[in-house]
Amino acid sequence: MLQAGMKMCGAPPVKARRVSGYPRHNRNFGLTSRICRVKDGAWCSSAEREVMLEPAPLLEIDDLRVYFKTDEGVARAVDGVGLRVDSGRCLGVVGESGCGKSVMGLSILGLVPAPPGFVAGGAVRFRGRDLLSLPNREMRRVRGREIAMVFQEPMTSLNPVLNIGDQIVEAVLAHQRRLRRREAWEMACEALASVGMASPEIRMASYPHHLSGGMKQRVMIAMALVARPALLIADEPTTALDVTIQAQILELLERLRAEMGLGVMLITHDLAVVAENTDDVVVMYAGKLAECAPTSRLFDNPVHPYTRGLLASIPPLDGSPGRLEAIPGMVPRPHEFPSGCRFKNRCRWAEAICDEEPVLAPIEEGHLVACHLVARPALTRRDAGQNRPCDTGAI
Amino acid sequence: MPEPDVLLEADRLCKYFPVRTGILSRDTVEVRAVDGVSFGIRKGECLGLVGESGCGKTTVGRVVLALYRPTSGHVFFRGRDLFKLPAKELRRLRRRIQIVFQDPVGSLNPRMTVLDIVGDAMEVHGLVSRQSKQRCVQEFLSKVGLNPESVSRYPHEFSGGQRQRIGIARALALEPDLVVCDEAVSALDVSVRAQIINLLADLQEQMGLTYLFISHDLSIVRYLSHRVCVMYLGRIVERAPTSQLFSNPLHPYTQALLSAVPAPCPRNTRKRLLVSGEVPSPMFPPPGCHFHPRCPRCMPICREVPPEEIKAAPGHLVACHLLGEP
Repeated sequence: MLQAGMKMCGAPPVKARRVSGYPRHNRNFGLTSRICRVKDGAWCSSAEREVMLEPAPLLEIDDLRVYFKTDEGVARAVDGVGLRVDSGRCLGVVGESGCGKSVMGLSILGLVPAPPGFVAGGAVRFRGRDLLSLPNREMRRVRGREIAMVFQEPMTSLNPVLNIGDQIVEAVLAHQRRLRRREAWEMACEALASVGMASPEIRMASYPHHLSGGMKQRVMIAMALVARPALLIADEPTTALDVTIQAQILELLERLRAEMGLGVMLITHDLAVVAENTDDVVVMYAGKLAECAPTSRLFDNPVHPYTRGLLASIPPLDGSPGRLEAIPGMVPRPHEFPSGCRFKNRCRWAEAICDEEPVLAPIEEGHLVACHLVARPALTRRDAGQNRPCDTGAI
Repeated sequence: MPEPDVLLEADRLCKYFPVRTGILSRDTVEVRAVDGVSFGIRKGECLGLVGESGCGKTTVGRVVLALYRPTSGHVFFRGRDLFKLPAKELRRLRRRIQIVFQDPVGSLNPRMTVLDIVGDAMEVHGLVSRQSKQRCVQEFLSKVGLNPESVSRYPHEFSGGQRQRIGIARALALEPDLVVCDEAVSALDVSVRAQIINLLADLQEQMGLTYLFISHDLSIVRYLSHRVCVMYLGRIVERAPTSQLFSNPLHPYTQALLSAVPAPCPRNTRKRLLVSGEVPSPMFPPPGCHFHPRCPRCMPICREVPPEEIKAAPGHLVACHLLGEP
């Protein structure tokens, strides 16, 4: 069954096999996600979604808190984050470094170094199963087989003294012990081919230093997908790459998502990457969610001052002149997060009420914002639109 | 001879690095990092140099700084050939060309205080006395938006953006004419990057600086530069005034590069012009036009003859055979 699945991912993609070729799990995931997308990217109401998707989403994070004990006090790196990822959909997690995006990604797979890190509360449910309370043994079966991860630096994630083939074969055999080495090797080859690597048989014998950054990232993705996981956590997968290679890798992820019905969590600091490649976005700031919305709605109507600051920091691609509206200051260190709204010290609309902690509340269907000033006229739709370096026709 | 208002002129620069290969390292192969690059930078201008990693942008920057001796070609600074100057005069001239590096962590000595990092070069060039050093350093720190009181602190006490400001202060301390920004904002977070970009733009206005802005990020280059050169595998493939290059890119590589830039707009309908493959190794560059193995519009002539630069519009030069056709 698995081999049949592997064959599916060789180019060119065959649509008819999309559902039938799924291994093990995933009987209706691909279908439902397709129904969801029939509406041309439109966001279904949550009630509709409850009907269309099965009750348990692929991944659900609920009020997750990951803290670190440091000499300077407890660093609340992730402090009450809740989100969900559905099959076949891509969730973007945006924020600057130090906002807790990566820690959140790592904690899903129980990879946060402990000590000093510890989970202080909340739940991570994968298909309804709480991952945080899983014993180590079972967690190992989830890692790679059901949830895979691609890291930012392909250079340091690969073992420099083993060739590519050995490393992928190792990953294959770790998940399917009964396979013969020869079969595992063939699967690894097919996985390399599926990520667009030319002449995979030859590439299997190369060492990481023979490959360029983009090729290494392809190898990482092949390795992550070789066990056919249902969820891929991609932590800044293209940050170290050139734009042309970045475009190739993002296209590859998009294709694999469509072919395999893969749920993707794309962690990045680049709003532009999120805009073109995700269905939903959550914006994180200082360990908390600032705003979450379907992608098109977030970019049409960014509400939280941090989201708007991030958008205004990108030089406009249409080349219109004028100063960039940079957010003053920087993300505070995790043990120095201010009380109340964590963004208040950098926010130009901050008021006395911001000393109280804002609650993530919906302002319209599916669009949640954690800001006291939502009701204020300064944050209306029209004003927000002015901050948007979008809608350019030049390129 | 260079024009009078041209501050720096590079003339057919080549820089080859010998690499020993083969058994017992007996064979030598040349890496043609820079292969016949010419450009001029006018006073007060910001020239953007764009390309993917490995295309030789940084090497061009280092040759301009006289950190590398070019294999052939000349660099004229204010009309004088940098590499024909006596060592003493070259040293005097070095203070006129400064650099801001990409990595704000690696480019500052962790054992030196900010006072020494910024002030030492001033002392070496005899711009300040020991007594006035602190005051001068403080002046430059406030110019780049740092607290002047932090002179006695060490780099690790600063954040990434602040460290980059220290790097900029160090470059400006010698009151240079030309500042080479080698990926100066690439390692910074989005909001901090915007702060540094604004700072660079302000400083250029205040001090009349000239920038050679090397970056792979087209949106930043577009924002800061007046003119842009696009490099591919050691050669400049297209050069034009910024607005023209972005509105009417003519070289297939520039077109591909521009279409690969993600736009912060979810309803982007523009078609991606994806180039397949990657930049070939500069050790064995393809014959003819370097871009032909990846070019979607490759013709037979492209495989054999390296294209000459053709003038497409005033100031807009393209090295592509497609334009040579009637």
